[in-house]
Amino acid sequence: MNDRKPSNNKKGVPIRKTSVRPGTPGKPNIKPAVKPSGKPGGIPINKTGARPLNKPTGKSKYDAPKRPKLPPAVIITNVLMICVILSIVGVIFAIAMNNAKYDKDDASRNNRNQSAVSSVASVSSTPEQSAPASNTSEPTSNTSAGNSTTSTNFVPPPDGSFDKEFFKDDLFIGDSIFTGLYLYEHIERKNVAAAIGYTAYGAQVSAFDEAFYSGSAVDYAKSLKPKRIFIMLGSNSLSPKTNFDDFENGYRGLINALKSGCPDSTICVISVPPITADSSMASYSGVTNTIINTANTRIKALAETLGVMYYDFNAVIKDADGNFKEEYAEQDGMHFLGATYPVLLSGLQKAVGQ
Amino acid sequence: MKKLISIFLTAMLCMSLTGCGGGDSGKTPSEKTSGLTSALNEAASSAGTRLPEMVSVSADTLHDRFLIDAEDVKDFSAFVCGNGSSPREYGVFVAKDADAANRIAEALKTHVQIHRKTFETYKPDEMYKFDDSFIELNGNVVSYAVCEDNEKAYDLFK
Repeated sequence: MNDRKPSNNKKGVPIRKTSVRPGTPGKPNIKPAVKPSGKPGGIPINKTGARPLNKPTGKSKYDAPKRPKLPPAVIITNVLMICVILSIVGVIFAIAMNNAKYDKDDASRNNRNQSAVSSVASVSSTPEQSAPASNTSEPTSNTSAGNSTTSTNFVPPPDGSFDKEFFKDDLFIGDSIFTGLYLYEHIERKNVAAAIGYTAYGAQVSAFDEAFYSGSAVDYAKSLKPKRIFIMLGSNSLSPKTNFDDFENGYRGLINALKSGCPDSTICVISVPPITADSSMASYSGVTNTIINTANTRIKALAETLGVMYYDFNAVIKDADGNFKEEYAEQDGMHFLGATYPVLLSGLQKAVGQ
Repeated sequence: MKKLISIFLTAMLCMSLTGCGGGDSGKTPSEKTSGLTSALNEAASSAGTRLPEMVSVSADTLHDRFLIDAEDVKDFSAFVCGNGSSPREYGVFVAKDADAANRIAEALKTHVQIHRKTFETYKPDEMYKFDDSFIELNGNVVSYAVCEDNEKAYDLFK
């Protein structure tokens, strides 16, 4: 029998044993306390193996209180409520993002003029007075820089900035290139009488858009009585076999019809645009810049004869070799990129605003 | 009581999830056309070719462009070539009801016929874009495409 006392006091609380050893001066002589030899939180068991005085119940007042369990239904309900709240938040967020996207699309569309204006390359040609008109049918390069008109007034080069309101009472008659004026929303639809494949002769007799207006461009001009009429036609009439007398007669008929039907309108004829050196569209029709230059020489002379304005836009959009500048040209080498229209409108506003 | 609450909340959850959908495939018209634009641009970039510039059709020009009444349209996204250089066009229209969807489909049919006739003589080399072109009516959603990969457009718009 072991008659060693249990190392606890009367209340069952373990007493820590310490022993003192001789130590060096200045240093404490305290050994770390000896842990009670039992489970943490449990009833210490003495080293002799004798049964503790109290019967173990599995519970101790030192045990942490257990958290009450929630019923499953409450847990499910809480989870569902969280999911519903997250779904509602997600829907609200999606709607807000969608609205923001539409606002952004509208803003970018409304600011398309401004962004196109700011991104347009600056004009490289120097402004000069127009060269005397030539009546010869020999090919001539249209090298008059700046903006040639029948007047000798100096016209500043276009900078891509224009006022849409400036053109609100005007009419633009042209071919597929001019359809871009309203498709890019630079000009209102009602101010454009243009059609794919349109010619100077077709503008007198053929409807340009039957869904919009059943008559020809001339008929529409007579009904609209615009303040100014801008004409850019000829690309669809030119080929290596072009008879330039017939070409000029078609233009003459158009201008005379407009002068007769809209006597108070200012008429401005715009040069036939050039093509790029590798234009796929031109290679199909056989058109060259030499042919285009000849056509423009005839148009310019005709404008002077009939007393209408002539705007040489080619001086702005041609490079040093006489080809359509790539930065203004669509992938087919003939049509305009969206950013080209503000350059044209800017030049026209400056030319007719003088 | 708790069971009733659970059933009610589950129903609300299902309704809110289905409300997020924007069309027959869950995508909005804008997302569908953006997806096609990206796919076509990617294909062109890989082939080293340049695509014509496209411009987004606004609600104000719906009638001018397609003879579609804006009142029939609940949501839409459409792109056309901005300068007449190509017959490329595509769009998705969500109509207000089935009758409106039919009117939109008929308007697009007429438009594409005129479009085809115009480019037959103007740019014959672009006529291949009308091959496999489609106008699809699916419930209240009408989609159409005239482009270089109409099959891709059909897959993305359905």
